[in-house]
Amino acid sequence: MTTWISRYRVPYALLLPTGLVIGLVILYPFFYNLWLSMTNMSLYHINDPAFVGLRNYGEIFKESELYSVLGKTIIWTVVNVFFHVALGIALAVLLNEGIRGKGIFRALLILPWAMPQYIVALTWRGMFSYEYGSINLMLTRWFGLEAVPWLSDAFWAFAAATITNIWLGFPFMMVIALGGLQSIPKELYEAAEIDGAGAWQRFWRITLPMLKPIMVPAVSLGAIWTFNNLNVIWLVTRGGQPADSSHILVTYVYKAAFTYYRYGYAAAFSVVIFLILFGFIIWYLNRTGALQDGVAR
Amino acid sequence: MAEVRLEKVEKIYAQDKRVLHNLDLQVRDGEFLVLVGPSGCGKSTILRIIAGLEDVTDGRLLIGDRDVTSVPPRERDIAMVFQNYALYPHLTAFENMAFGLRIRKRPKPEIESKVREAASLLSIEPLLEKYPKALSGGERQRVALGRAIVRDPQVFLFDEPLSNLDAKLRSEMRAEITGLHRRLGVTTVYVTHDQVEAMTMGQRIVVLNGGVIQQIGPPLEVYNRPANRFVAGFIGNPGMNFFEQVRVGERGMDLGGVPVELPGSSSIPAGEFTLGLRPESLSLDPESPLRMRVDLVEPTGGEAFVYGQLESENGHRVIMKAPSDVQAAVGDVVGFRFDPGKAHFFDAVSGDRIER
Ligand SMILES: Nc1ncnc2c1ncn2[C@@H]1O[C@H](COP(=O)(O)OP(=O)(O)OP(=O)(O)O)[C@@H](O)[C@H]1O
Ligand SMILES: [Mg+2]
Repeated sequence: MTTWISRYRVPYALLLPTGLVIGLVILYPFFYNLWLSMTNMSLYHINDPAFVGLRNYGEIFKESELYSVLGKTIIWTVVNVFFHVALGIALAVLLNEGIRGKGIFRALLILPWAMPQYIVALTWRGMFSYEYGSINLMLTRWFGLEAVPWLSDAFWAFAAATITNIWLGFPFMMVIALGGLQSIPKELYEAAEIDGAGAWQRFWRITLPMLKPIMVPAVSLGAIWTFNNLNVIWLVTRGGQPADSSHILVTYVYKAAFTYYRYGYAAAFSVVIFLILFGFIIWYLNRTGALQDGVAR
Repeated sequence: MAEVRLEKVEKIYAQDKRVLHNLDLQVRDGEFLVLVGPSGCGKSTILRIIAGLEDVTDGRLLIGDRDVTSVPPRERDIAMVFQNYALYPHLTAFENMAFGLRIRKRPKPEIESKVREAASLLSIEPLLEKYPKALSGGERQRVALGRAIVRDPQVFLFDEPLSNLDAKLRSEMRAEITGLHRRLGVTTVYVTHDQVEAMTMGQRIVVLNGGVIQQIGPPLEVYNRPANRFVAGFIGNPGMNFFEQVRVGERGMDLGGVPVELPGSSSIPAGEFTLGLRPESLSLDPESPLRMRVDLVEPTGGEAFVYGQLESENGHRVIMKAPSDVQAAVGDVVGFRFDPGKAHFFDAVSGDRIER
């Protein structure tokens, strides 16, 4: 025992600070949350929480709310990630062509990503305002359309948050795709051109498959971030308004914890969310072969 | 199959960089034509113009009787093999070869049979399910060849396809490619900077320098009757010996102070010329008044190259091809002679060949 410790003293000493930080900010909260999820801690029992076993979990699965919020979360994630990737790749392809003023466009297109989400979300909320928002003004004055009840209608509120988040999220995918595009050798396109492929076929048969190895991890990251994106929905819809109709799982939990102070319940809900995400990512990485050797063929 | 004609082709890249000027070139139907020249002389540019990967600044390009100057590559019915293979990394060897046929929406059974046929021609059937990264350089090059063959194109274009292979594989693939050409008879334009490839593969070779065609002809003719000093120096390894300012008179010439008889010298106008002698037309001769000091003897197995300097005031460099048991050591002064019938003369100023 003593020899073992003395032998590895230096490596462990070096690992210790990292280990402490990880323990403090990841492991401790994770297990604290797990414990919390099995208590009845709330505003009434803030100082004397009692162990209640899996009662919180039972409550979650009995509530019909879980399934509708989960459904919205999936729609939210799929729609957002789809547009992030589609817009990102499309813009990256355009930027990768020799267009004039490429540097300026690139800088402008990365801008949304560089701005604090908080400020972006509030700015968009202002633009979505029914009477004074620039979007409705444009729709009515320029296109002669009717004003859209962006923030007061359940569907439109969700759409407003989605649009905001798409705007915030595409630059990340664009930057990743741009890096991927630049690593595709030019001769492949020339060979394909001689083989008879038009621009569209070259995109589907060369560009996309060659981007896949780099986009798969980016998409899984993007899916996790979007799934767990509290800020945008919370700020654009003012905490799930109207009438708690535009929640995704994390905003729902956030509200349960910090508006209704149902700590035990919210903790259990977080564990459920964690398991859903964890399961999804394992499935996705397996399916796309990202966990196997040979992705970067 | 078709002939390829470039007419008065002009190519100017960005920043007024003129690479080709007023270039005329005809590739005959079914011919194996090799473009050879030093790096940067415009070989790839010519090939890429034929392929349609580069536009011409001026002039015309015809394949068959069709003017394809502004026709996109995919409608030109050509196939190209690239130096670094350009195989699609995400597709198996089979799919790489099938790519062009799939794009052209050919029926499945036809694709299958064509790919198998090409694979057996190149003996790569066992590799068909492998991805490019699992193939060796030679195997990749075969797959790239297969991809060109299955398309049944009118013209094959090769851009230095063997330069990434080792020497042994290179000579194997040389034979393979010329064999393929003999069997398929497809018009072929082959670019290389390696004059051995040019000599062994081409039915005709085109020697280029600085975007200008120096000579076109069958390899032996180019070797035996180089049109100018550049061609004479470029073709042949080791290169031709040149002796500047050689006086030629009535009965012979004066080589570094040594008079040499020259049968038929009367057909050359008297004057000063550049004399060219191939290393193999020199031989050792202790009696000869021509003498050189040996700098280096380089045995290559079957023969030896003797490098030295002429024993005269201007000390020209001399390279001689000798039998491997040559009796010469570094520092020796040896006598040598040459076959005057095999001497080449070039104009001292223009470098053009002087016929005699
Ligand atoms: N896209 C381009 N833009 C500007 N100049 C170019 C371009 N492509 C080629 N060149 C120039 O044109 C000249 C001929 O190039 P090319 O590639 O045809 O030479 P090459 O004979 O194939 O040489 P190598 O044996 O090195 O491949 C070179 O000086 C090169 O720098
Ligand atoms: Mg080249």
